[in-house]
Amino acid sequence: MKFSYNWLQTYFDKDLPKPDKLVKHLIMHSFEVEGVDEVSLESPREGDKCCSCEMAAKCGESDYVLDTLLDLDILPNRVSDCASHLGIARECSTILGMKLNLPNFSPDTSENLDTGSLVSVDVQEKEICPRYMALVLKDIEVKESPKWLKDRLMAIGQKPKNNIVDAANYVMLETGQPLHAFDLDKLEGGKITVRKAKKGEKITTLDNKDFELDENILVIADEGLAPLGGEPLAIAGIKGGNKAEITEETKNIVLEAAIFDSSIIRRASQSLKLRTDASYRYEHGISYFLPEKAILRVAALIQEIAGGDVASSTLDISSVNPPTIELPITSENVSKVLGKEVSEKDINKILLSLGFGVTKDGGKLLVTPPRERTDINIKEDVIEEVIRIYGYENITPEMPVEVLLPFERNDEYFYSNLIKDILAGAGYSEIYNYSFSGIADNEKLELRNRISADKGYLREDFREALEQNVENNLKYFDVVKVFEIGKEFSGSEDGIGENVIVAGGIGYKNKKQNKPEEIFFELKGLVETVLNKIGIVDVSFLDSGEEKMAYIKLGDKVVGWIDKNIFKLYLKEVIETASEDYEYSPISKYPAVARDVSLFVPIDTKVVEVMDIIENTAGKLLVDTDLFDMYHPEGAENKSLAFRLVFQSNEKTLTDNEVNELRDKIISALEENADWEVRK
Amino acid sequence: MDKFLDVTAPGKRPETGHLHPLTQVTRQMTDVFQSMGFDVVLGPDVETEHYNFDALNIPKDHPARDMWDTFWMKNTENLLRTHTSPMQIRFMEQNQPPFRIVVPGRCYRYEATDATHEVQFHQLEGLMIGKKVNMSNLKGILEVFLGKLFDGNKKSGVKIRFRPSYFPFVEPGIEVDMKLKGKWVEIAGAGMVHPQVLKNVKIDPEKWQGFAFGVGIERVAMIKYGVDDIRLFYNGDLRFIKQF
Repeated sequence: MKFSYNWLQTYFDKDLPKPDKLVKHLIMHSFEVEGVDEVSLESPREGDKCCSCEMAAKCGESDYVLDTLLDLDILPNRVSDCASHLGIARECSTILGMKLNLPNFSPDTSENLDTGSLVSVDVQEKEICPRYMALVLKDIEVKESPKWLKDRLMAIGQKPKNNIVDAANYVMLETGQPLHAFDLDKLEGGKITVRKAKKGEKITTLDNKDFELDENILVIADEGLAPLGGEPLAIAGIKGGNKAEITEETKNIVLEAAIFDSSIIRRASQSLKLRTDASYRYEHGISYFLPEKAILRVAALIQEIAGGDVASSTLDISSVNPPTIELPITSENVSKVLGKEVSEKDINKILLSLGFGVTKDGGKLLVTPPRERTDINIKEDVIEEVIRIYGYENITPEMPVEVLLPFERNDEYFYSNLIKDILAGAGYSEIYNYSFSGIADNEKLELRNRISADKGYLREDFREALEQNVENNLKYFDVVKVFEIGKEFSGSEDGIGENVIVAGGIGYKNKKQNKPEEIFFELKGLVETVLNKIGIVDVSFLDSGEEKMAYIKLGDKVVGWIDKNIFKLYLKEVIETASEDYEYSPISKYPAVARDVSLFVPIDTKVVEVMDIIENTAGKLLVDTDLFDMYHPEGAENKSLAFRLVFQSNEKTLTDNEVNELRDKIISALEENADWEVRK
Repeated sequence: MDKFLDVTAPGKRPETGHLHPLTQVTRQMTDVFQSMGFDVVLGPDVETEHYNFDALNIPKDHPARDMWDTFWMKNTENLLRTHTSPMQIRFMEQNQPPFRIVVPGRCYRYEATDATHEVQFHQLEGLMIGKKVNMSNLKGILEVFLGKLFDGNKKSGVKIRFRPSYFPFVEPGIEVDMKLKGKWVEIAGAGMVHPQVLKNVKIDPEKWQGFAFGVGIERVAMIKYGVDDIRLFYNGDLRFIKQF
């Protein structure tokens, strides 16, 4: 939100620090600063100052500085008191220790002028309009605003209209209270009604835009078209209509200062797609006490620049009477949060300068927040105020004093990271894909608000993205090996499930290397390596029945699959089987002896069938069975398998005879299958 | 000539894979915190309004909800978490203080993407509750954390500062800046856990207090590695990944 530096200066006798210095204070104690910008005029007018000298006319500079704007990021909880120049001036006054001069809040009122006898107010929706104040001014003169007022408004980007509209605008920017002025003589029936709009009801706003309203929107109406419930004069809390607009002919006006429920304004503003300075303030909530201050302030200002008589009585339709908040705090409360002593005297001083009421009550302070602040409701709110003014820069870093305990390992996090390292070590690079997908089989995964066509759903399956990753990267690399560990989503009766997946893919640019069979075995070897490295030995692969696809099994549990050039593992199931227990087996003192056995088997014979027979026949002296060659001549019905068998005993040196006997026994066992032919 | 070895000829490099920069940064972050006794806790990406907003003191129609542009599910009462803070609630519901945890995780925002905004990103949430855990401790912990993260073992440390800010689930709420190359850079949001949040999980705020913070992991990675476009983290381009 933009604030005028010159405007802020008007509340102080002494000079404020230069804008760049001032914002440094505000950054550390109040709000983030988005920018500091000078507002310049193309040509000087009489009295305009340039950047450094007094009179523009005497200056050679081509730019004439009208003002400097401070763009402050007002925090949502501080809109109630700081979406206003007075609020920011209060912050400056507290931080800098400079005395704040308040503007004129007391118009000269006319004894014989009574608001209530000229206009009546009927608030039909007391819940959503807890306070409505009206004040009549007569015999004002509508004209151009004085230069100082126009300058202020222009500096912050508002277009001056006439002195009445400008004054209402100005006082909103000064106090934070949205205000509206109606032409009293255009108000039919002399009655203001606050009610919900009817479905289809129409209004044309001050800027000549048409809006169609409904019953979720609050309006201010008069008695025009009375049988139909009156004619809307304004969309409450958002924008005025053109019916009772202030024009040059206007002589008598009624001022409005009200409180509207923040939720209804927020929803109305969203449904009408109409956000205004007023709706912004109402959405964040306005103090119950603000209308009574602001309505007098704007009356005083109008009187000053447009003359006229101000009624001595204000209509005040109010349905609540908020209790005075009194919060007890002690210096211990503050130091316990801060970790550092702050004296009661300092706390007292800070709170007083922020406009709090403070009384001493035994060992504690009873604190009453300023009435315009809606954000101070509990003790901790007060503590925050003290600390931010005391200064975060005065906090001394200190390590906590706590019981020394080692951290508890998170298995999901630990194993994800371990597997990432194993995969990276094996030459695979990690990718982070989006959690979204353009399609899904399950409607539970559909998003209500999609950001783009390819992100309409939560992703059910990694595969598509990984295949894409491989394909895209093959444009730049001969070999692509990638993996991702992340979440897949599923929808069921119980809602949306999340599964952490380990998945990877391979691709080769060279067609010869890109053989499905070789890729399958490369992935199978990779999966086995990963699982072995996290202590899982009982890994088997099960035919899925589909081409080049296998299920990965641990014991009798399926934990993933390999399909073409992609593999996938379900992390949770894998972790359940993972083990960090390794048992050492003694290294034999006696030499190992190797024998090779090779055979032809039909093409559909599984290697594991052959290995089972070898291992069951050989007994415990066979310590390793290694398939070192598998060959399938193009078009042949048989394939050749070659195994290296390693024999070793822990008790003695095996003789050639012993080993040969074992080999022959194995060969006989293999030959029992008539379809298998052992090569000799 | 047998004896001649041209040591300038290229070596035979083993083919190794590369970990994603966000994995590397997340690990560095959790390593520092685990060394200080913080446990790593993980949580769901798909959340309820209760955990993501209400229990964190952000009721419906609260203007502060504008701070979080949210993805909503169409056919269930769920949303995609907009921050890792829901895990504060989930964890505190199940555990009695004292405790200290960090929660790395993926978050989502419904907003247009550009060089500094993505629909998904990662945060590291921190939470420490004890009898006397205070703002000086928050500053101490963050100074050590950021020092180790950005300055490694050089021990010269980093300069940090706190500024006032507002998050409904902490009070006081602050923004943490770090000085990098002479400029203050925003690096985390933090504060003391709001007493209402403690009450929401049935922890007595008169007995227990502590801090929470959230750090953007992409932001840290971008600063550390000089990455100028957040979208590079998610486009799956190995020409980017292989630089790490």
